[in-house]
Amino acid sequence: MNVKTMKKQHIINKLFALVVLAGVVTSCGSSENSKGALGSDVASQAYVTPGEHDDFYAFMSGGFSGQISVYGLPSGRLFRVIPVFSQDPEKGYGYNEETKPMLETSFGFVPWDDAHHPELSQTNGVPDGRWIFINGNNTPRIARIDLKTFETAEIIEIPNSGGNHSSPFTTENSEYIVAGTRFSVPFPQKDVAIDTYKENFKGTLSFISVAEDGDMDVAFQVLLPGYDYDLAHAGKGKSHGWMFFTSYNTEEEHTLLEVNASQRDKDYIAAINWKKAEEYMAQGKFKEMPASYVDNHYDESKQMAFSDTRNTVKVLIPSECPGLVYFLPTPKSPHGVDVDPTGEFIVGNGKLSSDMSIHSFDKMIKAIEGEKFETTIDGIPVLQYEEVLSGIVAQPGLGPLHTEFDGKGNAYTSFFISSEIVKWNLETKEVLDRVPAYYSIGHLMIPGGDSKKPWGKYVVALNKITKDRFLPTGPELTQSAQLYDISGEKMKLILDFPTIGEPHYAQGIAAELIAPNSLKYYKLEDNNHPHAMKSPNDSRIVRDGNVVRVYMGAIRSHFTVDNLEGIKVGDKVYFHVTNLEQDWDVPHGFSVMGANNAELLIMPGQTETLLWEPQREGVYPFYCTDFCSALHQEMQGYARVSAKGATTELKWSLDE
Amino acid sequence: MKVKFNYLFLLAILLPLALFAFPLWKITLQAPQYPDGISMYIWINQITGDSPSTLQNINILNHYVGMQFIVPDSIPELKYFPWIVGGMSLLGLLFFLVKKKSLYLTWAMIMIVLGGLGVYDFYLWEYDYGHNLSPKAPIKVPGMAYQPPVIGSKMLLNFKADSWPSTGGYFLGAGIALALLAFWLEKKKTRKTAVLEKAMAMVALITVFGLTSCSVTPRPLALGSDHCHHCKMKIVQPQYGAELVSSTGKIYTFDAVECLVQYADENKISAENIAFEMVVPYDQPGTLMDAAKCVFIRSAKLPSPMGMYITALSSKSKIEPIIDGYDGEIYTWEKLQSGIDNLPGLTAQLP
Repeated sequence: MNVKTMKKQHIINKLFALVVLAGVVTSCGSSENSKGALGSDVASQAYVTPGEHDDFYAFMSGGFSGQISVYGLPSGRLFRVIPVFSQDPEKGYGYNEETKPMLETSFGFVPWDDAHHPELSQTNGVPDGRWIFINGNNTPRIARIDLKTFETAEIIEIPNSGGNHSSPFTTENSEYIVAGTRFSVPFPQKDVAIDTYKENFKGTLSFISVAEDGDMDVAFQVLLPGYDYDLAHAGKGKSHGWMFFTSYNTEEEHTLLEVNASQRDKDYIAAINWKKAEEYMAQGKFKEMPASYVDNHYDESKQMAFSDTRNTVKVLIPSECPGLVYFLPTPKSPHGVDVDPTGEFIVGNGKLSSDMSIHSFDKMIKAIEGEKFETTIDGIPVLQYEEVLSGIVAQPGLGPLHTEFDGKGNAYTSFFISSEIVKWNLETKEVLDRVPAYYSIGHLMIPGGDSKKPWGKYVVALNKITKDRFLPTGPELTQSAQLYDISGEKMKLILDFPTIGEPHYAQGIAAELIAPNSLKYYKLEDNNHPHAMKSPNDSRIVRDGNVVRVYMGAIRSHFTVDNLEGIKVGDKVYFHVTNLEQDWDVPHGFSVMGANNAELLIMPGQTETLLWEPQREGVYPFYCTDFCSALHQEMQGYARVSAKGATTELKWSLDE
Repeated sequence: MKVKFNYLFLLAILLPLALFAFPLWKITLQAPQYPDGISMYIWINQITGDSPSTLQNINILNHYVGMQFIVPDSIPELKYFPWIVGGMSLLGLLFFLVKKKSLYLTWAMIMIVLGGLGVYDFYLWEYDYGHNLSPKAPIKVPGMAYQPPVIGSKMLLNFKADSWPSTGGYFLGAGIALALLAFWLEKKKTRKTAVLEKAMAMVALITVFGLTSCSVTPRPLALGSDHCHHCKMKIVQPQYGAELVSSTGKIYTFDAVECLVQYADENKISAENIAFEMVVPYDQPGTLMDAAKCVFIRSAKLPSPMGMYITALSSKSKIEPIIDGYDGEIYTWEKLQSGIDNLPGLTAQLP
């Protein structure tokens, strides 16, 4: 044996020892692993017989995919991915002329965002199935999705914000949804040295009003110190009228935050009395500040989005508005803030703390009345910790992030570091049960679990890491959701399923609140798109300079014009395609060879527009991309492209 | 006491006016991808559907097989039917005022004749739609016509078509029946009590007879959705299949003749509990025929769905055109039933 092989042998021995050790470690852990949890009877609880429907809709944030995915519970079946903040070539969203304006911002067209927290609209503190809102974290925005069509209906940009994370949590009747900035930024935005953070950077908490028809507006912003505002939840019942935001980096540091923003024992939960804010607004105690942001609407009648620019925003300053904001000291860099169904308990999930601090709303009101203030920051009273504390859950786990409720007096908290869900009693603060999550759970969700009336049947864990849970797919692995039955005393894992993008928060709602209202198709007679067709007889091509508009219908199994001539290199060709079908589940697609664009996917009764700028002479096929019928393959046509300046006559035909 | 049956007649002549408020007939098309079915309603003055777009959707489906578009404006009957119905009620009113009871019968007879003509006219339209197909149709199935039944059920390719009277149609029928009843009661007014009893008995009898005759009948096999009661497989081959209807009207569907025989055998369904035993003859795909009238051949060239090589044919004469040089055994229904457990083994000889 020479030195080289000896060395090799040595390494192999070492490796072998390591493998054995790893085996011991994992086999210890795996006694509680999935096999044990998944008894045969448990699996059947997540089984929905083919052809049957799920009991719940689950709306999961797509995280860095920028979208919302819609699942059924308990089956974990994926129904739809709703395009929201990201272009989606599959559906033509953000590519067709109708939806491009949805992704406009004050920075121009931003085709992507990071979507974190879906939030269902509520009536009397209960999800009502009208809309779901979701935040765009990167370029601060909030979207509203219409749950009749499952389409994005509005996206509003948030001014004076730098990372829209504590958003879009709703008040009891969706009077407001909120948008707190995660990254404080210069206020107003300007060119300053970053190390002037403490003097120049501010945090804003925005209240977005939601009108009867869903229309969103930035009603007012509250100007706060330059902390990082992380999450929020509204008061309910007796605490209706209050909104709670967590903060970290109350150190107001601007570099190496993982260390520098973890120094203080306690950060704050900001309690905003928004009813009081309304009074101050009515009294005109706001400052009208210049700001540039856009509000994009999808007009369902015109089937087209429009972008409006806004130039001012109303700001309330706490030092001028006593009683508007209070700080509740909460250990340590709290992440989620969750209010129980009765509105009494305000759970601050101190992610670096070994205990969990639960505040009492009643005590908070008493402390305010008794002026039990520790200090005042920028005119904001800091309440004394002991005076607002209901109690602590002692050493429940490591890294508490979020808490949901079952409506039976229990709370369920996710622990990122110890990778588990812990069930505890709100009154006694006693830990009742714990189950592992595979792995590193972030948010968790009980259908209606952040409302006044949770459907406390399941909890869904939304996990950041999956490692060995599924078949591997190269370095990038799926993230996952796990479904636990919580109808009994003990939580039981019943299903694992992969998710689209990274699921942050999710929302669940009883299916019967949404399914009956789901639109089957758009009525052609209500289609007021300026380039709509009402019948095949409206087919035509119109030239105006180098703009060519093709009015084309799609109906099984043909396009109402399928031979186009007279198009020239350098033209801007708009295909206005109307799906003339009036039946359920008969979409048509449209694509043209060489278009620097995506496809159109047009629902019955809808008109969508594809822009094609042909670059080369020739004859190019176009076809239907959605398998619409038995003769779908025959649903095709040709567009002839002549040279620039050619005299080819404008001509269109079908079956000639 | 004098019972006035003339008011019965008054009611009779008013009932057809319901045709202005309700459709006369309903045709429903069902297929797996149309879970709710597509229903078309025929009125005396219009053709409608479940939704304003139903007719368009039916026309889209029909155009694949070359059927003409159904365009209500081009059907002249829909223009003059309302006048006929209104006119008949007016004529009835005249007869009522004349107070001659034999005119009751005359009115009912005219209605029956007109109704018969209407049904015949309906048949002609259906025949035209079902047979007069465009030579350029994308889908052509040799020998296939798409005429829906005037009344009853029929498989039209993947669609099951049901055609039955609708609300208005029942009002019309009731009107005619009442007119006849009024005439009959007027005629026998003297013995009114006995007559009333008799009439009740008649109505009861007719109801019972109507109910039983409706339910104990075979129905066409729905390919792709019916399951075999014996082997639990989906029925998909149009050339094979069988159906057993019990005397109480319960329907058992099978994907092969052998499944029916074995099922009846294993479940001890005795002859007196069986109303119909139907099989699909190989030479008439998609239709059911009385098993006793069929012949059964066994050929290694024709494997049946359950692998017993049993093929039904509508008659012996069909064997030669279907199996070249056939020399196997031919079974009658009776022979097949009794001998099914002792059939000689066969090995497939597929071409």
